[in-house]
Amino acid sequence: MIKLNSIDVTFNNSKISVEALKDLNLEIGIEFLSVLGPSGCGKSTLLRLLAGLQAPTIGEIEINSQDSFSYGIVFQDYSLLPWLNVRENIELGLQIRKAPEQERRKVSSHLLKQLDLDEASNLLPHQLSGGMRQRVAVGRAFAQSPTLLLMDEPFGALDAFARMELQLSLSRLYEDNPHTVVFVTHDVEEAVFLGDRVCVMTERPGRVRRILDVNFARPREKALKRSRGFLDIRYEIEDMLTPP
Amino acid sequence: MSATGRVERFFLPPPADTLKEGYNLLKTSEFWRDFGYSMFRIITGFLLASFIAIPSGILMGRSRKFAALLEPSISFIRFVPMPAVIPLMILWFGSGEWGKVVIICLAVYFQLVLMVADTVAYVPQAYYDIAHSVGATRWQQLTHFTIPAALPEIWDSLRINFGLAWSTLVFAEILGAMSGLGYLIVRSQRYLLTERVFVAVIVIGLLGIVTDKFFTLCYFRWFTWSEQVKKAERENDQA
Repeated sequence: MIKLNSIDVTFNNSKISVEALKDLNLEIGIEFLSVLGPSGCGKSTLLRLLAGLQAPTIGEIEINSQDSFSYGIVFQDYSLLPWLNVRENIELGLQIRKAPEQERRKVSSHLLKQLDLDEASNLLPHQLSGGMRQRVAVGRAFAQSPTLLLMDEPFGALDAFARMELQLSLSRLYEDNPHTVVFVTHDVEEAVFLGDRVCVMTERPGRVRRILDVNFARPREKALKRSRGFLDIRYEIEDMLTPP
Repeated sequence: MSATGRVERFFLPPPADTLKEGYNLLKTSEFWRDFGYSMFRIITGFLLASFIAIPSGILMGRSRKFAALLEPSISFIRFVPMPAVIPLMILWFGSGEWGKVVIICLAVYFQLVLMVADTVAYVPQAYYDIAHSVGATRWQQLTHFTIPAALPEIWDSLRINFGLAWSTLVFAEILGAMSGLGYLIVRSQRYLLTERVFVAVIVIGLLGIVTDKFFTLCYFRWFTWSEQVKKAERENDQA
């Protein structure tokens, strides 16, 4: 369980000070939380905060977990090390933790299979398509099995087809092995399709505007996107972000 | 021009004579002795310089304190042309083998260390974000992220500085040595064996090309990813 208690983040430089987040309250359990909001609303600041790369100006973050805290992160791009092949990239976190070779192999083989990357395991990132690269990045984050998984618009640069594929892959991984996932996106459909809850943020300074429960059954299939219940939630959020 | 006999042959020997002389020279043991001495000096001096410059350059690139401490003096020395201090070096280190090795080492070190530091300082933040997320220690950050990311550029700096090592070597051998390809030039000039001067210059040039090719070939063998990354960045810039 992660609790953010009335968090303020203010960036000061000599001339101006910018409030990125103001009075942000949020509780995150073991769930897939999608975060939506207008650009510049502090979504990335929220992720940096959760990763420990940014300290709150005011407020506190409580983390309750049995194991020691660790996080995995996937960015929109530059998530891979270009000198490591696909398998080595996936095993990176385990390698750093000095996990035994056998364990590393087991985890990476399993993920390679689930992500449909079996045949690419010896290729270097520059030999892959954008979609495959992000799949490797997702695999790397899951391989660490972190307490918290952060995703910063990971599919934002992909074409519609690759995006759909990745949404399904990510869904499968999550359903097999639920983690706490915080997934930042611009795409309302994506947020609803993937999330257990969708957190809609206000414009800057960012604050939680509303949290919607999305209780569709898992595993989720492509057809869900056309169902009545799905479209209702999707349109409700869209209207919230851009009033009709 | 010289083949027509209009120019004195000790100014510009005819190409055919040069070739013949080159062939004869290659058969003498004295040429191979000079060649061996030069190779020994350049390789030892260059390796020594690399072994010191790479770690200290990485340290400078990663630590602002260290860089602030060393950079002013290194920058100063870097701008002093090596030939200007070679006489001093000979005075200090003698005209023996180690004198030459030290000269090459110093000439290469001060260039190389700043190039390495610069490369390391420009390793993209994105890699360190990944390092942080997988929980890398400071040491692992260095071994798993900084060094592999900087290695292609470091290798390229080695290639460039090997050229510098060549010119320093020849200069040092001309100024004070009793052996080596530079000395071969001085000796030949003294006896007006101009063909030999040409042969020595050509041999030095060829060796330069060969070593440069060696570095380039290794680069493309080991660091294909780096070329691809650079290409992608260029395309991004254009887009």
